[in-house]
Amino acid sequence: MTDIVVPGDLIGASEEYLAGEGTYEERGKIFSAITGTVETNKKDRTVRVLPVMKTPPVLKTGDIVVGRVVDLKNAVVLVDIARIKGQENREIANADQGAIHISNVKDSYVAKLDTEFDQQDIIKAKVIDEKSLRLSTVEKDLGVIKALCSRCRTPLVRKQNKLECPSCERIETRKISDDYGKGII
Amino acid sequence: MEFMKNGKRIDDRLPNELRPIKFEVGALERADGSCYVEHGGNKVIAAVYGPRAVHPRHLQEANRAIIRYRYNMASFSVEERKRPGPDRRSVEISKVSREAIDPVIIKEFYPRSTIDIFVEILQADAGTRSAGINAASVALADAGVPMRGLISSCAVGKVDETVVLDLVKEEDNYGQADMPIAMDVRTGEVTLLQMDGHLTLDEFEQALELGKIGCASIAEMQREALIQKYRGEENE
Amino acid sequence: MNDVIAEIRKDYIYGLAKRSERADGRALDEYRPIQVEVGLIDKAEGSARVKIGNTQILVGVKLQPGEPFADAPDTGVIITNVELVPLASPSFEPGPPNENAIELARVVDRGVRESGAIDLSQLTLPDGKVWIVFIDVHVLDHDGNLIDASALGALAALVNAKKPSERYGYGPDEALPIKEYPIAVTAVDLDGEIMLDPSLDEETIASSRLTVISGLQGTLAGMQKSGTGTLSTEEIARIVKLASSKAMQIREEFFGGSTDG
Repeated sequence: MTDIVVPGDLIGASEEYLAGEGTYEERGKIFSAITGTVETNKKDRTVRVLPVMKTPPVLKTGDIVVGRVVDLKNAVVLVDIARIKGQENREIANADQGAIHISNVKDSYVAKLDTEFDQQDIIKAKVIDEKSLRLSTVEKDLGVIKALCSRCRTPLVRKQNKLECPSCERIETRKISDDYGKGII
Repeated sequence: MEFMKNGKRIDDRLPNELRPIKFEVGALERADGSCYVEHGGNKVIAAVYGPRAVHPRHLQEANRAIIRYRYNMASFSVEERKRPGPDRRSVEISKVSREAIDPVIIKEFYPRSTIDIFVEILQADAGTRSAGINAASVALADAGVPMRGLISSCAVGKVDETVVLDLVKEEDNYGQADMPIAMDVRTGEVTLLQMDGHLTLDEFEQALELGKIGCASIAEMQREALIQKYRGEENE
Repeated sequence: MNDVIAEIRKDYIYGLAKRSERADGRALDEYRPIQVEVGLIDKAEGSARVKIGNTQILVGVKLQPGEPFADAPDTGVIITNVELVPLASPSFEPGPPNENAIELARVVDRGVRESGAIDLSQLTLPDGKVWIVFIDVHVLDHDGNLIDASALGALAALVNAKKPSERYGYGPDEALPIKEYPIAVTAVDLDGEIMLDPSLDEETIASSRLTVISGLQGTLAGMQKSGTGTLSTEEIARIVKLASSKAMQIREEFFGGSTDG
């Protein structure tokens, strides 16, 4: 059984280790900042605490996120990021706006963004840079997962590679996720 | 009223003895972190939400999280039904409790966010603010909010010229002094101190010393509660 | 931000409803596990904690002698209040009760009052005063269907309550005169499927819900439709029937012993 430390527990000295994740340093000593198990890495000489409980969700490169399209510019789509996949029940601590550059929409050439997204679309995307919050929808399961008819605001239904309005029969195009309309993230 | 008899108090405790205390980590599902505490006759539950977006936005701080703390008594928590909603007492307690917890939270990790702490007093029997702070501290740890340490709190006071630890209602209401304190036991830093009544300087020193001992015992219980909770989960 | 998740889940839950299924695997007319514990709050004259799944509420009943209403000098007074404290849900905010809290309190109150759960004529006191019965519902964990949990908690706390006669010099403490056992059953309509005991997701997504409160003989004591959606008269009739028989089961499970006499 591994030992569990709680906030404020002494776990090392600064001269011996570098203070890693889940720790803080004070007057030459390293303490735990969370409840978890201590892990020391002799190679890079860091000590960190691996959490045993769920920690506040923070956006990291590689995360799959869901959000809503709020604006279309010439070369970027702005997205209000709502949740991180796997941590859907908790608010993101550093929630912010992400951006999908026209080159990161899909694996083929995109001439205009408005054939791929519309305002209010709900999308699934991958964080490709956590600092600038750049997102990508290139992969097949990424892209729009829910969209409304731009004419009558009825939820669009997928018909092969297009979206159709069941109410006014309007056909629209999007970068559609494989999970469109399934209600899963 | 006679408070001390043969060196024992009205509930048969020694002057330096705490009431029975029980912590239950993660008592609620919806909250990001929670803790239920029974401390003598007190029943208190604390929930933490966040770090999350701040509304209204003008309250947010560019380089750190803000901390909000709401202490609230259920109408049925006291003998005479309390009118629901905040009163001057609960507003003051919310403020000093927030200030008691704030110093240990590492707020710089979560700029522009808020960490909201909600404490509900389900049953009150003297020392509710301390029980609330103890619960809140564990709830923050349960929410994974980074902290420099746990805050532990208890009251000390004076009855029948005797300095005693952890007052019950009668001692609080009719005794000679009541002094709640909260501290980070490891550093010895005091984060909450209030006092009302009459104490000589000697008695005050004695009381502070006793309070430190009480907080140290509570800190150990908080630690143990967190470790037990997660040790249990690890084995599952 | 929450609305994004709700919109996504909507597709999922509707998809399931098309196959008569629910996200947590329950049958359409099945409740989540219900737990009732009474007497947890010594300071209250009666108390009950009810859990329905992850939903959790605590009800305290307090009694105090007070003045009757001028138009009803021989009847006790019931005052019901609900606190949707921000501890219970990320969507609850501090402040005075909003319309949801007030609606909830009034529906719970209606069930107790209109069913005649308490014989108010037996709440008079010799000095012309009457017992004021405060029913305070404290919501601790909101995972849907607060109405049924609160109504069940209110009834359990009333059954658990004792008049504190001794404290006020009116002789020995006595149980409250309980005459009826009203049980609230709430249903939502999702894509034509009637579901009892909606979870938070189901309740958020459904455009309307109907609460039916019924008594021992299956007779109705109160109803409330809530939400902007519509229900057909056929749907309403189905829900009423379903609710009344489900209420029988719940009553038998938690008050079986008391209702026999």
